This record gives sequence, structure tokens and C-alpha cells, in this order.
Amino acid sequence: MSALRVARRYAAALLMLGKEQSVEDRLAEDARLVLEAGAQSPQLRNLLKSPIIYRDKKDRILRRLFEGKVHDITLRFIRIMLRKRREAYLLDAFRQYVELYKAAKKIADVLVVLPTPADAPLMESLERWLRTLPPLQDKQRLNVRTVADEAIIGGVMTEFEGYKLDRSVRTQLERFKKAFSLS
Amino acid sequence: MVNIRPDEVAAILREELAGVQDEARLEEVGKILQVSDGIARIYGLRGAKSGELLELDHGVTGIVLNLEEDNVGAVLLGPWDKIREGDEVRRTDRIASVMAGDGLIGRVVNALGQPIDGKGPIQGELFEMPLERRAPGVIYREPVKEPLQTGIKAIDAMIPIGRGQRELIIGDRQTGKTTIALDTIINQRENYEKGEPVICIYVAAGQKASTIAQIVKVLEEHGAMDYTIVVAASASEPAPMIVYAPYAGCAIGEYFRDTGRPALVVYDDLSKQAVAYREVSLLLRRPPGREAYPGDIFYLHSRLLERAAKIIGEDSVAAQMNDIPPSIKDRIKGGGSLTALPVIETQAGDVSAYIPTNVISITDGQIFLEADLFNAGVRPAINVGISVSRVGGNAQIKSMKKVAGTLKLDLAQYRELEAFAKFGSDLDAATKFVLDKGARLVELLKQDKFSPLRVEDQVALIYVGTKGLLMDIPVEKVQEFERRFLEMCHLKLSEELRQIAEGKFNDELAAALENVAKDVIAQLKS
Repeated sequence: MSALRVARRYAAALLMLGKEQSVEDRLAEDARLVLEAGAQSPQLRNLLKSPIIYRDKKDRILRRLFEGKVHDITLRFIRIMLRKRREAYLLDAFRQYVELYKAAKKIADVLVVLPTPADAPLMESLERWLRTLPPLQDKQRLNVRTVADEAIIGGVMTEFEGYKLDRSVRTQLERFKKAFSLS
Repeated sequence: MVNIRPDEVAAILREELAGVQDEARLEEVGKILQVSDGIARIYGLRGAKSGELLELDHGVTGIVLNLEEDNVGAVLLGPWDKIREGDEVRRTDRIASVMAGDGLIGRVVNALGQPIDGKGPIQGELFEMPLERRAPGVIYREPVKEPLQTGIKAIDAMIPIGRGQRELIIGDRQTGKTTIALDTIINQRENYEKGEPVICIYVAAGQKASTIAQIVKVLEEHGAMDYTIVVAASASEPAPMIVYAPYAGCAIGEYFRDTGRPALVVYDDLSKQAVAYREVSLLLRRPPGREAYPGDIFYLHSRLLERAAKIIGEDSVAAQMNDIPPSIKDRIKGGGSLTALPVIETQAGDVSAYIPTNVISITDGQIFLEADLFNAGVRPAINVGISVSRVGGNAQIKSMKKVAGTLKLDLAQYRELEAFAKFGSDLDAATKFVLDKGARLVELLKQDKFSPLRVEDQVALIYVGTKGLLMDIPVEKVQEFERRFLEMCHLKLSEELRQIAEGKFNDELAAALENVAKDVIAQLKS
């Protein structure tokens, strides 16, 4: 079975349980914590994928790592995946959990590239503008991350959920350049 | 001194840039995960549709073929060597298409409709025609009833092709498959001169570039490029270009068909296209089936060949045709047709291989060429015993129908008794007559390449042959007879030939032909 399908099944079950017990927000934080640990530590990634480390050893290590730092359900979830020999998909499952959680809560991560750093009033007007874009209109929360990049010269460029809107001066100039070179 | 004002410069610049899209659009984008062998796997593009055109960097385009759980598989059209992992891919919300128009006539284009003959950009108005399009429905079609003359005696007499028909040309390598297709194109010169051109599209899929150049040269030499378009995807091009070349040819043909004109498209050849499709499918990790072809190889050919059609004559009904591209919506006219001549190459005469059986079952008949006949000097090397035309009979002109009625039977009897020919004088008179007549008919049906005959000439010759008038001359003199007989007919019977071309054939015309034939035979004997 494909990794994505396995991960999505476990993640969906975790989200269902989280909703039942009203701890889905806490579980999302836990998921981010585990994913961050995985991203920063290749040893952890190798441990999860390794077929030669005994499962009880893996269980001991993961418990020592996460006990007390994550919700009890998250820890039990990690141990269930381990028991079911699906620990190689653990990080994928948490990644899918974050996706499903964001879809359920109508949260969107938005990246905004500006030529200069944004101040508070600009951020406010940016968010107002972003909410007018069709894919973001029904979102309840926008996690806006801004990046300052002089190379775009002016204007704004934004990326979210597989969409891109490029209103930078750089792209506009490139378009004109292309039009001249074609004709 | 002349002065140029700055506002004048600004005005000109503004005018030049008037068409440039300066308003940014919200685009759905994905990222390249992997590129290899003309195939890309793309992460993202959740809304992508199968068959949709994608835009990549460096001016490369792609077509979505696989929609998977976490990625999209696409074929890349164009040089993909500069595409890197992580590059951006944009959806276009359009399906792949070619720009078709009257300006394409006389040009050589690639599978994307771009000119490759060095004669500059395509002139005139161009219309966007989708590569993939559903075939016209039953209501918008008419039965095949108009003939499409190939100029080849054996075909027009026994395996007639009608406008809107799909007739397969099948045979081993070096048996004259392309020659039959080219003869048919060259023969359309007559219609072009009459002002009723049949627009011909020759699709070279997976052929050698030198062969394509040779074909273009032959067409030019015979004045056929005046009404012909060549769509070329040579063997050196990436597999997706070879796969889509027949679709591009079909889309161009549809432009002429839907604007009420007759068109002929030759797919040379679909076995190479199938091999290219197999390559693409295997690279996309689609499961291989028989002979490692993917499961939808039948659909690849059936959906292409179904687009050949004779469109209903009434404009009002034709205008409601399904899936009309928006670009030609106001120009739809009834009565157009798209005739398809697909070519399939067999290996050692094996017609029961996967692709040949598929295409045989899809088409309305097949012209089967045999290497043995070719080597024995029977050219075109058509095996009339197993060649058929399922619908073309209705499209044959009446005069031809009348004279060619017994031809196939005579030849069948001859083939049956041919084995006894070696017994020579020991045969009874009836058998000997069948053998002698058959040998002369076979000789009469021989024809040089690139020399198609007008239909009235064919009728005259076949009448003489089937009537048994050639029995008085030796077999080796039949070709000489043919030459002299046609010369005499053109000289003495021009009015009669005109009537035959119109479909008339009565005792008077028959008697006139017989008289000329007897004169020529007498000349040959003396």
C-alpha cells in the first residue's frame, strides 16, 4: 500500500479521536513537534526506518523522547503505530494529520513575498486583500508568513495551498521582455 | 531636421504592448518531483484534469496523463533537458491543441502545429483545434456515399474508398504502403484543379527524417503540396511527439471537415505510434498488457479513427454537433468529411499480432499488401482476396460498379486454379480460359507508382479486361495495350469518357470501348 494511503488512514483516525475528546488542537501542536524533531534529527528518521533495531528498543527510545512533552493520545498513537509495524510511516501520518486538521478547521498557510519588511498596518491590509482571493474566502484563519525579498523590485507575490499570485514588478517586466522578444 | 517627440515613442510602445497580459492571474502551481525520458512527476496541481496542458519553464509544455494520489504524471512536449527538480509547473485550464487554418496548406509542421519547413510563420487566420476531441455523434453523420478516388485501378475497382471512411493499409516493410497513400494524395490533384479540393494531411509518425524529406519532395514534384499539409514527428523526436502527431493531423483535418470541406488524413504509421505510446505508458508505470502495450492501446486508436466521418449535409444540424471547439463555432458547415487511411506495418505478414488485429477491427476495411506479390512484380502488391472495403461499395460510381462486378470473382477463380497453371497444355479448356483471363487481369491491374489514373480510364480498362477482350494478345503485351488503348480513347472517345466519369455506362458506350480495343489489339497483332 502506498505510504500516503497508510499515513492518511492513521491520521484520519487520530483526528476523529481528537475531535471526540476535544483535543484536536493539542494533537496538532504535538504533530508539529514530532515533525520538527524529525526534520532536525536524521537519527530519529533513521531510527523509525531501521529494520534492524528491535521494536521494544524503539518503543523505549520514543517514550523517553516524547513522554511528558506530548498529549497521552499522541504517545499512545506513536506506540500503536510501532506495535502495528508502521513506524516507518509515523512522520507521514503526522504530516497528514496536520493537513487534515487544517482542512477541518479551515486554516490556510499563506506565504507573502514583499520587497520590504511588512509593518502591522500593512499586514492588516494584506490579510484583508488575501481574504478577497477565491480560494481563501471561506478560510477561518490565515497563517500569514511574510518574506522580504528585494529582487521582486515592487508589488507582491503570494503562495498558498498550491496557488500562486504573482503581482511583482519583476514578473511584469519579464512578461514585457518576453512580448518584445516574441514579436 | 525631423524630430521624434518622446510622447510619440511612448505611444508606439504602448500600442506594441497592447496585447500583453499585464494583469496577474491566480494560478494553480505545482513543483517538479522528477523528470526523466520526457516524463515528469509533479507534486501539487490538485485540480489538474486528465489531458490538460501544463506550462513549464523554458517554454516547455506538458500534457497530464496520470492523476495519482500525491502526484501528477505528465508527458513533456519539447526539449526537457533544462527542466530541473523543484521547477514550477502551472495549470492552463486548456486541453492541448494545435492552431489550424487554411494557411497550413502546403506547409510541413510538427506535432504542435509549428512550422518546420523554414518558410516562416503560418499565415492567415488560425483557429484553436483540440488534439483530443470526442467524435461526432450519430445524428451528425451521414453514411459514406461519395467516392474518394485513389487513382489505383485495383483499389478503385475492388476495394473502393468513400469519403468519411477509414481504410487500413496494412503490410510488411517495403511492400508499398506509403506509395498507396501518396498515390491517393497525388490523385486528388484532379479535384484541386476542378476547384473542389480534398485537403490532404500526411502524418509521418516515427519515420526517418530522410524518408519524410523524400515524401515531401515527391509531393512537391507532383504538385500535391498545393492542397497538402505534412505533420512530421520523426523517429528522433521524443515519444510523446510521435504519440500526438496523428492527433494533431486529425485536429487539422477536423478543421476542414467541420467547415464543410472534404479532407483526407494518412496516419503513417500507427504501429510506430503504438510503440511510442507503449514507451510513454511504461515510463508512467502503467501496467503492461499483451506485448507490453498498455490496456488502453485499443482506445488510443479507436478514438482517433472514430473522428473520421462524413458530416450531415444540413448546416443547421451540423451546427449543433457535439464538442465543437469555440474557435470555429460560427463557421460550422455541413457536408464536410474526414477520410482516414491509417497504415500498419506487420512483421513477416503476421496480421494476427495485437496492433494489426485492433486496427483491422476498428477500420471499415483493409488493403492488404504482400511481400511475395511485390517480389513477383505485382505492384501495387495488393492481395485482393483478403482486402475488403465494408462501406466503400456504396460510394463507387455506377459505371465502375457495373464493370468491376465480376473482377474480384475472376481473380478469385484465377488464384484458386493458379497452382494448376504449371500443368500447361494438360488442362481442360474452361480451366485454361480462367487462368489466361486471370493472368491478363493481374497484368492489367499492375500500375507504376505515382501515376494514378482517372476513374473513367480505369472503367474503360477494366471493362476491356473483364469482357475478355485481352485474350487475343499475349500477357507481356497487356501493358503496351493499356498505354495505346488509353491514348486512343483520349483521342477518339473524350465525350464517352466524360459520360463514364459521370457514372453512365450503357451498351453504346460499351460498344465504343470495344471498337477502340479491337483496333488496338489489331495493331498489336500486326
